[in-house]
Amino acid sequence: MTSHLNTNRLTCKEAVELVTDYLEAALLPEMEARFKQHLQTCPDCTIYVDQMRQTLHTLRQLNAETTSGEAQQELLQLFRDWQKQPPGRQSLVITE
Amino acid sequence: MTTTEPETQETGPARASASANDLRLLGALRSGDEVAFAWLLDQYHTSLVRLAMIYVSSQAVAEEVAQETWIGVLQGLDRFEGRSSLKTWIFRILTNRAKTRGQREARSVPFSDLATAELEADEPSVDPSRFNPSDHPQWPEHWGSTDAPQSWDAIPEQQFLSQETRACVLKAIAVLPPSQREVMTLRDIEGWSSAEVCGVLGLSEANQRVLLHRARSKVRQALETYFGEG
Repeated sequence: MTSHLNTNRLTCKEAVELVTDYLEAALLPEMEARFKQHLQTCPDCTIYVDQMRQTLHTLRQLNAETTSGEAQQELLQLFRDWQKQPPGRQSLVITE
Repeated sequence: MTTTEPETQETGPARASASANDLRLLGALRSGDEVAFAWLLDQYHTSLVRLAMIYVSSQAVAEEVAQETWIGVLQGLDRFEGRSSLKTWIFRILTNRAKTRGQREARSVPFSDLATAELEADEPSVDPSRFNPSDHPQWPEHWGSTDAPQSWDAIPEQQFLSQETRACVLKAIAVLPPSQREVMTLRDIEGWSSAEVCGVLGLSEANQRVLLHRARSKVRQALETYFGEG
């Protein structure tokens, strides 16, 4: 990957590879400055970064399920069974 | 199964040791406080199942693995020394169990050595043909005029959150290489910190970021294709 010959500016091809580091605040200050400078003059990459943020937003919404009441009861029963083991507890019987 | 399984040992780099809250919880569990266990279930059970799904063949098996994990947690309580956080410890038990079970099912299992193999290959995040060539007279390696990304700002929020969009994203995640799927699931779906993910998966921060970058790039691409077909 070669930078533009005339300046220190990033190309779009380089910039898209830096997006995650940028969003993670993992870019070193000099590189972050160059990245932001690129976004300032590149509407396409600005859109790309927005798309990446919107992708993350969609991903966060996937985390919506909860355990069913029935499953919860079954798991609590595990705990009660474990409680009943004598001190120096042996393994619970696990049917495999 | 015996009570001396290595999985419950606190191996690996300690990213964060047990907090005061962890120790309180531990004390409550050891004295048989069911409310404490119910709280743990509420916090972690669905995440355990989700993570197990990466390694095993079905939701049902993932549920079994999660259940076995809780058994392992309870059996290991007496030996847990707080050198890692409770959460890290629980999830390490899960990943060990899920990988073992996945192996028994003869699925290809994502051990962290496979992460190394995945990391060695180069993977551009965007199809290189969408950029101008490097000898372009004016804008080398910039987006080509016909291939630049189109803004999603006009897409209504309800479409972003629709079942169809969700299905598209889930499908994209399901076909990710295992290590990328692991990192994305924990970071971007479960909302774990990068330190927590590195702790459970045994990755450096830098490697974790590379895997995350590749996963995110693919999911973005899947969404772009999906929205573009609308």
